[in-house]
Amino acid sequence: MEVYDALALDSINEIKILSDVRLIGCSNLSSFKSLQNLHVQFTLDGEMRGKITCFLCLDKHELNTTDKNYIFPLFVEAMNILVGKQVSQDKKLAAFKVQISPPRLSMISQKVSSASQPNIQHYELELSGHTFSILIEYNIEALS
Amino acid sequence: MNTNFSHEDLKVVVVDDSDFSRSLIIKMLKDANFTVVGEASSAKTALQVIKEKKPNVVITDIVMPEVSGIELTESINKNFDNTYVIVVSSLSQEHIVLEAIGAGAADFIAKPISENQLIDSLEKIMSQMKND
Repeated sequence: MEVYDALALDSINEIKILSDVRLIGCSNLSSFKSLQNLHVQFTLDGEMRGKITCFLCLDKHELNTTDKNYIFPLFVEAMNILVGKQVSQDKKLAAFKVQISPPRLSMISQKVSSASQPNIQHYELELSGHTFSILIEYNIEALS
Repeated sequence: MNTNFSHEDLKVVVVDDSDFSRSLIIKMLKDANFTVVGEASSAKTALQVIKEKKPNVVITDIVMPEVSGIELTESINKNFDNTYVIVVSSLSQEHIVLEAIGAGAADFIAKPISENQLIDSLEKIMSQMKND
């Protein structure tokens, strides 16, 4: 088995999730750090194995219950679509047969930073005039 | 043979473990005047709903806990005549599309689903039903 320690899948420029919801890739190299977040994790199995963890960064946001009830499921679905598209379209990995688990959501914050982490991508989720930063960490190994 | 199908004549069941995704598909269907006769968050529940409601079309996600949408598609084709299946998934690798079609799916739609894609797929099935 060939192990890719710091493998990120090809970044996607933009996905329109709903008419008023867009997921946009951030190509700037400035680091981004989050202490307040929740995350959803996908487990990959098959010819490519590992975990993809997507953090919804809430450091600058105060959400009421109504906001949470709308944004959290939307975030999970947006990540489901993004990860599926990346696995399907990535130049290096599209040929691998892979199964993806259902998303597993955790409300426990973790310290996460994109600084010096080539296996972390930064996206922004734009919805209803609000923008949320999303960090995606890839820990994947593939059969050679 | 029924040659006068309209959108509202088509009975649809939606299967997805994501409440959000399921609600979104159901809203698209209702906005386009299709008749949603049932929904399910798992393949096991879906089989009960299909048995009871006898839909023309089942729209199912692939990635679900316990039983996948591919296995559900195989089961529908084996046990329910005249029920078409549309598979939807965020994964659109060639082998997955082929697996879905091989299991008996009438169509495959990659997420995010657009209303136009969904209507187009259902109208193709309606055309097929006219010929059945």
